[in-house]
Amino acid sequence: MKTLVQVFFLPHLFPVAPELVRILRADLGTDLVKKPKHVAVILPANSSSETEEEEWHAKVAQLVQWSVASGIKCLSVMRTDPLHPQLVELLQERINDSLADFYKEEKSVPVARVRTLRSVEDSLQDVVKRQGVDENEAQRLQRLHGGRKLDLDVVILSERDGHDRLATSVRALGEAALGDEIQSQNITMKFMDQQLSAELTEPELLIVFKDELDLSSYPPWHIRLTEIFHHPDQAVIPQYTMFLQALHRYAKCEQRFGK
Amino acid sequence: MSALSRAIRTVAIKALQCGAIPPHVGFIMDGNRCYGCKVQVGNSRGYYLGYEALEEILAVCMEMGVKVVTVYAFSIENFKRPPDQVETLMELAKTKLAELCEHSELVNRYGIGIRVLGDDTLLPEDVRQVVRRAVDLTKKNNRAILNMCFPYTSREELTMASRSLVNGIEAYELNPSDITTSVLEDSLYTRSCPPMDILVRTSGEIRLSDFMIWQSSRACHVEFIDCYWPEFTFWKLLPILLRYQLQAGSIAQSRREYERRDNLISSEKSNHADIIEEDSAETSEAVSSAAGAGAGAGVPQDLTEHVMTNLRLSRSSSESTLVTAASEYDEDEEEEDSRGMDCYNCQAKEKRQRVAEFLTHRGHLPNSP
Repeated sequence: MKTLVQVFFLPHLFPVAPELVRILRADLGTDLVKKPKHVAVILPANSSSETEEEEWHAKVAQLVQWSVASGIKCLSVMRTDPLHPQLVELLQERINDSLADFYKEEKSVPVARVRTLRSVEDSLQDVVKRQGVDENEAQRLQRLHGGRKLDLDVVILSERDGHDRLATSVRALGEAALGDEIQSQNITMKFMDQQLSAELTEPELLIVFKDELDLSSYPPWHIRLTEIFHHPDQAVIPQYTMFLQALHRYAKCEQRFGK
Repeated sequence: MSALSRAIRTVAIKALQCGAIPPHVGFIMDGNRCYGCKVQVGNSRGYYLGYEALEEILAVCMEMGVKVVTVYAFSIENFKRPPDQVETLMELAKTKLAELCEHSELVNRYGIGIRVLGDDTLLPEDVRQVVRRAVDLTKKNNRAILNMCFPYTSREELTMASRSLVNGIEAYELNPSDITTSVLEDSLYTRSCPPMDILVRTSGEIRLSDFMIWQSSRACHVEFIDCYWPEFTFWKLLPILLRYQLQAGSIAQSRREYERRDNLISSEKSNHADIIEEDSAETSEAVSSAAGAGAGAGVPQDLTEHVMTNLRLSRSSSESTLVTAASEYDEDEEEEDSRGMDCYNCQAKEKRQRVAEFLTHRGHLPNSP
């Protein structure tokens, strides 16, 4: 027989996380010394059939749930074909619904926003405009999402955003050089990094949900130090297990940076 | 190695040759120091043991018919290591390079051309001279290639390629619309090599550490092996090759797909560019000057031919795409159809010649004939 206090008062002071979030937090454990800020995922999509597209959306929504619960700040998902803008909106709605469901007993529901990379020309203009302006990571993300606050940045990439985008960036730099805006001798690694990392940061961990370890043209500039997690039996291993194993493996790794 | 194990190895190689042999294989030779500690001979001895493993793997690859072997000998980041370790590595490089180019039976038997990829301005002068000599002495060998990457990082390579292409645009040798994914690929250090088919990293680490990330992040079979480099023998390479053979078909298909997309994108860009009217005299002059410049700069004919052959091959595969694109573009102007297509084809041809001339002319790649 519970007292009035127990029934009405205490649940508001100490909200109970739903079962799933608790399980996830227990699985992650307290021994994860290192957590990645940006996790990249290669999740091929067969956009020819509607059911497969639907399944892909479901998988992304699940990954978003787990990423938010793990404290990851950015999740980039690489698929084969680009995602149609209408489908981006559909995906955003689906993610909102699934997060609301996952966190339904908590005080606040975290916000995850979906975006695709802007065109190279827009991104370059932006970089030039913001030359010398200091902003931290959170402010940058907010700006990319049109000033809205968010807990998780979800970027949907396609195979054209890899090598082809790098070539397009070089073409845009060439056009800028013809217009006397830059000079080729000023193209250093730092300069290239500024241009290419404006829209997408370097992932610390990359999980490949494909039978073979195929990097599928993930933007090459960004994966120089990325830990690449893959298992040949990924078709039969639950996605959740892969995700957890990848995070645990990342926590154990030691980066020497050349030394 | 006993005669029996050698015989078994030969049989295994013959069996492998029934399937696809990868033309280009890359190795990240990681774990030499750890191996040295493990067998208690010290770091320096570990590096020497690593070199011996490289010789064995190179011999095996040559026997199988691999055309290009690329190895990560030294990263630009490795300069941060303690000076005595860097010194040991530089000494090792000098001794072994001299050995390879002067009296290596392997190099002579298989006609291996040694190339050293990377930013050689970072090397000490004495090492640089040995490098130049090794490359020079073996430059006539073109049956197989050994690319030693030192000091190399992939980002430095991409920056170098971008800088050189933008420089070409500034000098009006190229148009911005000429720059496509394959042109950027042809400006990297590995430009005269076929695309990479297999990349192997030893020592159990699961990252690329800035090695060949452009070359290995599409249509390439990547493997992370949990053993140290000096322990990596043919028998550890064998299952990797078998797994590659299972995938060779899909890798070839992805490459065709990427090439098709690249041609589509480049033909779209040409559509938007201004139609430049050049008379045929200028065009033929450009071609002959390219050939002349190539020979005059001491660039061996095989590279020029290789580039031209590649272009001819891509031209024949893309002509059908160009014709389709061109005919869609001229849909509304039926009376100017044939004239439009001629102009369009000749524009594409000029673009290819311009790019080919730029790539052969720009002998800026150090230690790469």
